[in-house]
Amino acid sequence: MSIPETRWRCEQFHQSRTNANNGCQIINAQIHSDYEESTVESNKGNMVSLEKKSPEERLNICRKYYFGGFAFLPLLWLINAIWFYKQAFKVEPYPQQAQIRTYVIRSAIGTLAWLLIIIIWNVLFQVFRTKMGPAGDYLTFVVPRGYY
Amino acid sequence: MMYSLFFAISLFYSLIFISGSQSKRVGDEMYVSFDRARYCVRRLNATHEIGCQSTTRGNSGRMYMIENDEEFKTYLQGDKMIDSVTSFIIVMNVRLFDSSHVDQLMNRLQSKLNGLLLYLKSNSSRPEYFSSDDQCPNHRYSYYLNQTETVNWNSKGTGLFFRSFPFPIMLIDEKDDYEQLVRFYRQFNSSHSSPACGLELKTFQNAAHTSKTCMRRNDITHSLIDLPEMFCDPIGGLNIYSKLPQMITSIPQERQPKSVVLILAATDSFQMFTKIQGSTGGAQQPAVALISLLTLAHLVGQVQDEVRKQNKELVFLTIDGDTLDYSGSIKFLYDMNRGSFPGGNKNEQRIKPEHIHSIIELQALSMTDQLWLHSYPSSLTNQTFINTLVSNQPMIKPISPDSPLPPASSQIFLRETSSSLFPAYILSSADATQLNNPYYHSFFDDPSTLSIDLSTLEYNSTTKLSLWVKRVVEPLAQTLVESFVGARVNVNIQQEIINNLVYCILKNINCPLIHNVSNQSVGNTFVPFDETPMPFTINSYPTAKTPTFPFIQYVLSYFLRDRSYDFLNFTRLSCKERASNDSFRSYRFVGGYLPSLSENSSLPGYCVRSYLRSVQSISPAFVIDGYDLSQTTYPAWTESRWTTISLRVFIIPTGTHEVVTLIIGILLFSVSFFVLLALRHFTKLSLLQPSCS
Repeated sequence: MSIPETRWRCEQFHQSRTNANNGCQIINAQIHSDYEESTVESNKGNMVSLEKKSPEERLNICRKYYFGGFAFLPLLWLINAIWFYKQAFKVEPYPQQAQIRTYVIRSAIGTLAWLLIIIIWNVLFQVFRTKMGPAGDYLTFVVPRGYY
Repeated sequence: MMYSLFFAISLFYSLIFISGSQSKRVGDEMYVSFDRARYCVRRLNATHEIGCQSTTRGNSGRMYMIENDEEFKTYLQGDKMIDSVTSFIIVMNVRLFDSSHVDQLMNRLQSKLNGLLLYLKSNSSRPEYFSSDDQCPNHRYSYYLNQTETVNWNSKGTGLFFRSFPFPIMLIDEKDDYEQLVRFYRQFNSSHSSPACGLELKTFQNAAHTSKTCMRRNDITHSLIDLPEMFCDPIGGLNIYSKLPQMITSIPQERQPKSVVLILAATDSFQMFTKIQGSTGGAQQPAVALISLLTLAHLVGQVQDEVRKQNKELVFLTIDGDTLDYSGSIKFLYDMNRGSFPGGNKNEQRIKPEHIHSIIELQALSMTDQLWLHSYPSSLTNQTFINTLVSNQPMIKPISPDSPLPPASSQIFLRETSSSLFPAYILSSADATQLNNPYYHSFFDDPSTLSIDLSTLEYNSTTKLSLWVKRVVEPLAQTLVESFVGARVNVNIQQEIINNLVYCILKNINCPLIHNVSNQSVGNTFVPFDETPMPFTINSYPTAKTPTFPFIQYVLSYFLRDRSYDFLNFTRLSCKERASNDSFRSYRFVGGYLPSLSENSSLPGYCVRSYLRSVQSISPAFVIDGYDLSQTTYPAWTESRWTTISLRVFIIPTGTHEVVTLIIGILLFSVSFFVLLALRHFTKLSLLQPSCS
């Protein structure tokens, strides 16, 4: 049995059970006995799959990413917006979805704002670095050798 | 199991092959490098940058050789050739290096000119004139003496040293380098389509824009990473002065006005094309002047008992850094005006401009039949001094005072005191209109222009130059002592001393003279410079390990030593003890320099009691707190730092060759993909499966 086949089997199993993790481990143990290599990993190495989480856990993750982005971490907002987009707009409604939707929208706005700030600063710096005098040199991290 | 065995066997075989083969780097087979090439570097001042710059990886291009004017014209008219090549490195005879040729090349080729390589065919085919300095040297700013007319002292000067080039310029002056290059050129550049020779010049310089930017960047350090990177260094060396140690005016004695005579010479020169180990030029200016200064100091030391009877001090001063906007003299006068000349001891009475009686400068002395005495201003010059000098040595001709002065440090001394306090006398081979040095400030200014054959020059050989120096300096010393001190003495110096000085300064600075006048630890610092002459280049601060300054310090202070100590028997320890009692003078225990000692004294070692001071000669611009380096109040020259300099020849393949190489590369690339796909398809090795997510 190839590995992709294993995962498909796990997920089929999950959708019929509420307790997500245990089922897959049983099947994985069978696979271990078939193959000699121990490179087959359990859920430990897999990405977090939102479908396996309860709605409260999903809201929790979304909230953590949203608040984390305020610490000058726009990438968290970007990931938040992309990752939870499907959860916020494409899946059938569940009680926490409204809150997730606000978080996603605000994260997207925040990402755009940061993108604008970074692009504007980048352009300004490149154009005015030499015209700023000493300030330009002190802001430069790697001072250029051989040219102004 | 199987696989590990296979792996082990293949490893074993590959080790055998590697150890059995002679490994050569592909890169070494592709290039031929010239290690003895001279290069042009970047220097900056308050407003501009001068010199040459290359890219980090070096500037490369197709080589094209131009031997003379006709080939030059043919090349410029060859539109087809110029349009078909993307970048050129022009290899040009050094005779064609002047502003008109360089400008024509730059205008015609624009950005295709990627570098310039000059060559000197052989030492006997030197151009008659070669100087990259301005036609009126050192005349750029208003802090020079305001003279009535501008004289073109260096009429053959091209001024190319002070231009900024966006490409590197290098020069090969060795005959075998030139012949190798010509051989490659003739072999490969015969027709346009065959593979051509290419050159790569790498002279990347760190500094850019102006001194202000560069010095600011020196200090920027983001200490998270590593050490700050140095971009440039200020120009400057040491100003050294010495006098007879018996004549020290200490507080509370009063120094009489007009009681100090300054005798000066420069110690540096510049050249547009430098080399780490090689002739640095500077023979006619300032080497001969320096030799004459040291000879004069020895003569004054010989008659010190007479000189001491009067209350006039004769101070011998060497100035470094005057070739670029007189930085050294400006610093010296800055110190004097602020009351730190002479420095080193708080209790010594300071010399101010009102204490100076006159200045005598030795400048640009070539071995000419006539010497000229410039003097300025006419209101203060002592005509009896001039007359005595001319009568003692008819070779010297006076020039009417208030004529324009040649480029000399005296200009700054006069300007800073508004020419109202003391006169300046300049003894020079420059007449009223010309410097008479065809190789002024270039590396061609070497001892061969003084009729000295370096290969046969020995420590004691008497040359025409040493005879000339004796003929000139003895009457000068006699006049000096007569006029300023009032004593009539007969001065004679042993020819051997001048011979030794000529040898040490022009051929080998690690000579017996310096070992005899200094102690062993100092003498050992000269051993790495064995068989090299005194370098006359632009020095930068912090002062590099140049032997120039220690040589001058120890020889000058020895020549002016207290001769009464030559007869006293000291031990090394008792000599040192003397030093602890006397804070004005220095005491050192040396072996003794025989030609300078009288026959009566013959001791195993001598205690030398002397007076010596050395001061940093960087421009006040770098010393004043908070000085804005973009102002032009003081000169602010800096020299860039650089790491590697290289000159390499390689072959540029034809177009077909390059296309074939590219196609073979693409084929190999796609073949490797197919091989791997096939391996994956036909084997069941788990290594080739995509890994688990």
